[in-house]
Amino acid sequence: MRPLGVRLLRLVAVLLAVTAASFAMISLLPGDMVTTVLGANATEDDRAAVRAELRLDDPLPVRYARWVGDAVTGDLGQSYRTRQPIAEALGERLGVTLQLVVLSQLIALALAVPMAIFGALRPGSWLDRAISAVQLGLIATPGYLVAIALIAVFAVQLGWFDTTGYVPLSESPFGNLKSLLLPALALGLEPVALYARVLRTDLINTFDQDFVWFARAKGNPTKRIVLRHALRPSSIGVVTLAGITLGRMIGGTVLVESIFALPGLGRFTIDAISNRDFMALQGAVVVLTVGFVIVNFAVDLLHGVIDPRIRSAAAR
Amino acid sequence: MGRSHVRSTAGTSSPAPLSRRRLIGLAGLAALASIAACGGNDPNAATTTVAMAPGTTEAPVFTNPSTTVDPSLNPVSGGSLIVGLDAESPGYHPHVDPWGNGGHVVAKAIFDSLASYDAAGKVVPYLAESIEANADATVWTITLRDGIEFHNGEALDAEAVRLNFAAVQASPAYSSQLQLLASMTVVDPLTLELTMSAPWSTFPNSLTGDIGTQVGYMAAPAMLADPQGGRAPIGTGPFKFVEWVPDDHLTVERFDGYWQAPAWLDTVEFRPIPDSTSRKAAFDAGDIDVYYTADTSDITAYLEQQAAGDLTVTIGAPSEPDMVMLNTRKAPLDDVRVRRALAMSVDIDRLYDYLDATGVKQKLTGPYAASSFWFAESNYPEYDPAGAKALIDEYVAEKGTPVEIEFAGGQDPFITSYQELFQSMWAEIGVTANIVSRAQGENIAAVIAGEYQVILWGGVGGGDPDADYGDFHSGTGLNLAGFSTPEMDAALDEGRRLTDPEARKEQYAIVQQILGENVPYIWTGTNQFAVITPPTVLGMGGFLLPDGSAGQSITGGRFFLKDVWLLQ
Repeated sequence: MRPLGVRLLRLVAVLLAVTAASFAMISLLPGDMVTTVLGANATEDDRAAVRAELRLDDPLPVRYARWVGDAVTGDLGQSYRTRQPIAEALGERLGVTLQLVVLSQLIALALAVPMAIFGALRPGSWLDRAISAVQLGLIATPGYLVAIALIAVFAVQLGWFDTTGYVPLSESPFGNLKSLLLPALALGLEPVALYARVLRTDLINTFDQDFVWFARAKGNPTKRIVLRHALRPSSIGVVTLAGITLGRMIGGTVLVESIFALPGLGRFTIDAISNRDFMALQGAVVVLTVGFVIVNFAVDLLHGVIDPRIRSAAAR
Repeated sequence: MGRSHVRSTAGTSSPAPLSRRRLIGLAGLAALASIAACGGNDPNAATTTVAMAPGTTEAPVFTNPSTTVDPSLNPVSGGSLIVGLDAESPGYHPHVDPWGNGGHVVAKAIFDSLASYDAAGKVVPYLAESIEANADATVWTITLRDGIEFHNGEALDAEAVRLNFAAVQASPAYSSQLQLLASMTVVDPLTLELTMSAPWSTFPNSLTGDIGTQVGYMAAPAMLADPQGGRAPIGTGPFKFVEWVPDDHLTVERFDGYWQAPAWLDTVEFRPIPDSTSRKAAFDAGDIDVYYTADTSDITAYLEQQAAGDLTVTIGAPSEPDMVMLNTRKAPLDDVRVRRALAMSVDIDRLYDYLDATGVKQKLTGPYAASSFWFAESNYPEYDPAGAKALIDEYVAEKGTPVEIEFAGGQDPFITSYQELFQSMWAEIGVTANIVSRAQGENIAAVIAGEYQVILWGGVGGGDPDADYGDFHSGTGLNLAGFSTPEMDAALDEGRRLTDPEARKEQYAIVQQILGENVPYIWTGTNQFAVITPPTVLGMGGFLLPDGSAGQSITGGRFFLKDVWLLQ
């Protein structure tokens, strides 16, 4: 593994690249930002005032450099649309999305691991084929449909959950879980098949390793062999995949947070894009990028925990 | 309090079944109508509660609300209500933030407007004691009621009103709404004199606090002075602001120092749920208590449930029509032949079949229904697909390129299917329409920026034509179709100057004739909103004016909660 300093430098480089790209992209969108703010028929004086306020006459690199200068001091600016400081808005929403994504990953892994184990123990059996069929169904079903179906069944018909809305953890831990479970399911079901298939393949390979045959020869029961010996070394692929899938999940929060009316970063980001609120979008991009890089850094660390050979290779 | 609580008091507990038809239907015109962003209101509209015989599936019979509520029931204080909103607002500053239906529903709880509508649709003073003009309507005098305070204890006096109007004049987004206001003089603490740069006979219409008339809401001077004031609004309304978590909820509580009888409800929570399917599901599951929709098939289904006593449907009279707006600044829509051809090829009956709206919606040939005082005949095209095809063929032969347009609408599948109906009718005359499905906010931003060609829209017409001044005149920030002519500008200015209704009507007939000839809009029918509540929520149609007479409770998808109460 690379030293922490190198990783931090890479984080800074990634942040600069991603924020510069998003800054350029929102500036390149068709139409005029001032028109979005003031309407098509605003007076020239009003337009000039807004251009001056947003400093839109400066070249793009200058505007970006100014934004970076402010951002490193912790000033992410203010939304021209809501007039709320961006840092404050992000602070309000980060927790919601963080909880949603963590819960989604837990659900995905909790479903994928048993599926993978059962499939790997009897490859080609009726159970393996049945699990594969379920996985295909999960892959093929659009997230929007899953979300609506979950609401219709578990919230409207059965009344077990709230259809929409968010309960803060500080207000009620149980209420918080209840408000996030359906959205997390909607977000977490999609990668289940992916995780299960990767883990199943790795498990089948691990079952063929000498140390597993040795454990079997010693008379260990299957449960112990799987859980104590095979699962851990087989997990590197699925853990890596979970880290990478995080980016896709963050994209999924845009849809899920809108359907379940959750006040998270996904809804904030789509509002910012829709309204060309570039300061808000830049703030969201920074948070999401940092989050993505940190999670993948954590995944690298986990590799060492899962497989000591990686740790010792890094030490050498 | 969720509806589960309401239900427990009513003795009913099972959630309403969610059929596939309803699941699909709820994604319908509610979203279509909710994309309406700017425009007027309907002073002729009256709110009605609908009464139907059990099992009846015919068109609803509109009756006075008082006939449907047991007169022996007296309102009682207490309880909470959760209102589902169709969209979140960027803030709650009446002179800065653009509001759709959701924003106005919140605003009507926190703010009061200087004027409002009585049950017959006439503009009447509300916060103001009187609003009077001199002979040629160039000087208006607003006299305020004594003793009204904002939630923070500041007085609603002439200076506070002046500060509000000054804030409007300083607002790039809303200054056009007071563009004729030349100067203001505080005569005494309760009297403000306004001098206009030209006669403005319908000035009180602009003070009603609605879409296109946000000027009328009065905010506290302390809020106006605070750059973050829109995040913690302070008004004189029946409820005062408690907290706002954007995209999650905004809570208000009863203002005990209210200048009229205090509201009945203890608290109201507004929850923005942008996805219409989720919003209706939230109501059906009892997570929200108030749901509003303009989806005709949805309304029909709820009327059946009302007949069984499961809920209450309160319908506002027709307001802003539904229509398709054509951006006349963009080719090929800058050619009147193409616009007329698009209108001539739309079979309204097929649209109504699809919407389950036959017998509910009225066909239109302009912004005002045939039943309106303001209606005038025009040369608006009739359904004639053969004639439409001839016009398109002529255009294509002349320009050498086929007609291809981008047709924007909401994201609901129901809306997309509705658009596909237009698409197929236009295809029959040789026009290719590419459907674009976008979120409400994106559509509004695109329209405001002029970056669209054809879009499902609303919020124009229906009421006093002067409310459409901004939509039709060349010199405002609200002419979103980009169509105007000097003759139409002159007629709109004259209509604004005159005070005699018949004389004004002549001017607006000119406007309708020019619109009918040039077709910047394809009118698809009147629009009706219904507010759906559990049977234990009463008074939704019972908004009262300061003198105790009935006011207009529901205008479009915007309604008052002042006189709503819970059956305990």
